[in-house]
Amino acid sequence: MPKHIKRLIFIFVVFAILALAAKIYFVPASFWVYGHYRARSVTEIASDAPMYRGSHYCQSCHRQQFAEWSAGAHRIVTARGMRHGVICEDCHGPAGRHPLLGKPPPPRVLDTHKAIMYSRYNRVTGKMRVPKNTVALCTQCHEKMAGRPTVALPQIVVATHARSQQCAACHNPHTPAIVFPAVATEMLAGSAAAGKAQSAQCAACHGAGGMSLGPAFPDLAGQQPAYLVAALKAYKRGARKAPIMNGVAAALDNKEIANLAAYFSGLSRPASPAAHPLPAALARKARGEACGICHGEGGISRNPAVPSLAGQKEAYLASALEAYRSGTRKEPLMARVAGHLSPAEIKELAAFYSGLPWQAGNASSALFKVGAR
Amino acid sequence: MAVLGAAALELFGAFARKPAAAAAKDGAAPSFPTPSYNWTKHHWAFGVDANQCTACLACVEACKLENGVPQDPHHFRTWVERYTYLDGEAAPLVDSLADPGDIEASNSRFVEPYRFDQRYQEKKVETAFFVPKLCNHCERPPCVEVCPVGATYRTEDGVVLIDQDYCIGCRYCVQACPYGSRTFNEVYGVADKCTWCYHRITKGLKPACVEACCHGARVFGDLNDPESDISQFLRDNRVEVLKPELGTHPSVYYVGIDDDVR
Ligand code: HEC
Ligand code: HEC
Ligand code: HEC
Ligand code: HEC
Ligand code: HEC
Ligand code: HEC
Repeated sequence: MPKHIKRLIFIFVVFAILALAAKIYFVPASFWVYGHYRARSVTEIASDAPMYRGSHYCQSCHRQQFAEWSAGAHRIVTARGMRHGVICEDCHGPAGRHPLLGKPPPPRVLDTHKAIMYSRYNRVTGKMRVPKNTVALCTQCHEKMAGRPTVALPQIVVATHARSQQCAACHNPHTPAIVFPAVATEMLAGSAAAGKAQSAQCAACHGAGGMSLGPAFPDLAGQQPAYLVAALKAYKRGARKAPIMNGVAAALDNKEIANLAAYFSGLSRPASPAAHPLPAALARKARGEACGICHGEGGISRNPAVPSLAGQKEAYLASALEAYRSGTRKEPLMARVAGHLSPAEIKELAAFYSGLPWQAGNASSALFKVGAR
Repeated sequence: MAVLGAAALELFGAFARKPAAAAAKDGAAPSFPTPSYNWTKHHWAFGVDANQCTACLACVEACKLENGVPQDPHHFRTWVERYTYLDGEAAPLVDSLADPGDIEASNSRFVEPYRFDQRYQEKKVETAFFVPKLCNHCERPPCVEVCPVGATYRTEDGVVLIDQDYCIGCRYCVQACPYGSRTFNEVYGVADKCTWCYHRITKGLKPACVEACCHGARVFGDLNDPESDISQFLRDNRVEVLKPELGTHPSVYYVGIDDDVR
């Protein structure tokens, strides 16, 4: 064989060996096991730790919130493959390693790029987000917008519904529906005449015409009948604590309560005193925002389950609000509202509502859906 | 000489590996963190019901936090588009989360969630709907075809993945995808895409966006299981896929979209 051919063959062989050696060196071991890719990467990708743990993960530690959530409209319901519901982590952010007990694991480091691809463990401190700005949170789903499905997803217009209020001031985010205390309808069919006879024992404190005789005694004239029934039954049960009234109500049976409610709610009121001045910012809040949606514009309630506040005794209003705030008077709706008030605001609101003029027309309106859903 | 011999042996091994791979394909699957998971037994698919989408963007949020996607409004593994037909107009107005108006509405986009702005509040809107978009996990994925190094592939259970350790960052796949589903992560210099949360579905969980969806707009499941959410969804609805004319055979099935959605 000529020398130059031998040389050529030698060069070819060396080149082939070098090329194949390079291929062995550069192609990862698990390449081609399943196809034209690194089989190990499947395992690597699959071994990442999930961040969203699902609502049931929270159940064992946050029993109360989970129970509230399970009872409300935000719970998960699945029907024919379609899932509706807001999971805890939609509002609170991914749980990841919450609650953080011990040190977080080291992040996965890319082999070749030596970079932390998933920097998420650095971001997770194990603390959950507690949404403060509930307007931003709730309007993500509940603000009226062209294209949003309106069936089964109730929409509001913030400007007229909540105005500048936080949604959590009235709604419990875990059980969002506002359910007004319900009163059985037969309790609303009392006889005013029979109630008038009964009411003699009340006059010492609440006045003969339902206009009370002292700052601590609330006016009853013209009050919403369902609310009067609910209040008296709460006293009777002891759910609402006021030593005098607990004693008085304990002696009343259901029929008498219905009669008294019919009587007092039918009474008309004399003209109320002049309005107190109130700082402008708070007046706005009181009139339209936090209270008006339930207690009616001007403090005249249109909702049978919610008491009117206009012209009520100032000291009584203040003590009632304080009682809700401190939890001695228990009612979920007012507890939430009053929980957002400061003592100074309570004083001003009591002064404001006691100074509002009474207007006739305490009729309930179909606007409110009353009762448990 | 010994070195050469060893190399030659390795060489043979490399060629001999191919039949071995075929054997592995039938039986053993990659070792999954959940040992009972067998990828030949699943065929994942995704459904989107645009009629149900409220554009709350909980899915986008969930995807980003689950997968460590950059928080800025230009990198998405899944996103939502808004199609609005104003009164008397034939063509829709389309905007998505990278639209300046929507970025504005999300005010501080690193803290508050994404949201759509109310730009059509004053206008007369004939119809409008929102379309969640994500990788279609095509049966014949163009992105896999163009990858020069084999850093992206379709798994046996029907998911298109990226091997980010192996990606060289050439961005051919970003260009090849007809659906705009791939982004480029400038920080790490690699391509990024939806994995259907492969680390979740192989553990029996749902993808994060499906878990987060509050109104049943996203459906996920196993086509091999006739009772799975997706099988019911496909039975109950007249579904369509995006750009069927391309022959990519997407695995994401849509309900409630029209011809303008592509
Ligand atoms: C193993 C028990 C446990 C589980 C499971 C758990 N948590 Fe917690 N959670 C805690 C503890 C302990 C704290 C108080 C310490 C802290 O803030 O880390 C807490 C605090 C919180 C707080 C208040 C944080 C604050 O700053 O006030 C929220 C909100 C919360 N958890 C939500 C959740 C949600 C949502 C889930 C389910 C995805 C969940 N938790 C699952 C134990 C748990
Ligand atoms: C619709 C959004 C939403 C959902 C869903 C939700 N939360 Fe909350 N959660 C809130 C908000 C808002 C607060 C703040 C408290 C408030 O203002 O009443 C809160 C408060 C809490 C707190 C108390 C934190 C504190 O410091 O007071 C815990 C614990 C909690 N949530 C756990 C849960 C769990 C567990 C679930 C699921 C079962 C859940 N949440 C679902 C919105 C939500
Ligand atoms: C991720 C989306 C989402 C968020 C965030 C959200 N909601 Fe909801 N909300 C829903 C859905 C979905 C329903 C309806 C569920 C159903 O009936 O199928 C609903 C129902 C309601 C209802 C109607 C309840 C009923 O029984 O009619 C109220 C009230 C409500 N939400 C208030 C709130 C408030 C207040 C917040 C903020 C703390 C909030 N939501 C946050 C999705 C959301
Ligand atoms: C001042 C109290 C108050 C505030 C603040 C408030 N709401 Fe309401 N909301 C109510 C009352 C009362 C109802 C019940 C009306 C009814 O049952 O008809 C209600 C009903 C709703 C409903 C159900 C509507 C329907 O058609 O069933 C939604 C949704 C809702 N609110 C969302 C919100 C959101 C979101 C915010 C914050 C931006 C908010 N609310 C702030 C008092 C409030
Ligand atoms: C000895 C004085 C006294 C007598 C008699 C009395 N009450 Fe009262 N009543 C009170 C006081 C004090 C309160 C305020 C208690 C509180 O803060 O909860 C009150 C509260 C009420 C309330 C709640 C009003 C509201 O706005 O929440 C009703 C209803 C009521 N009384 C009805 C009656 C009826 C009916 C009778 C007669 C059968 C009666 N009371 C007899 C002192 C009296
Ligand atoms: C979500 C509806 C709702 C909102 C908002 C609301 N209230 Fe109430 N309020 C009620 C209901 C229901 C009752 C009756 C509770 C009971 O039976 O104890 C009540 C009772 C009261 C009482 C006791 C009246 C009496 O005669 O005993 C006062 C005082 C009061 N509210 C003040 C306010 C003020 C001030 C605001 C605004 C800051 C406000 N409420 C906002 C629902 C609401």
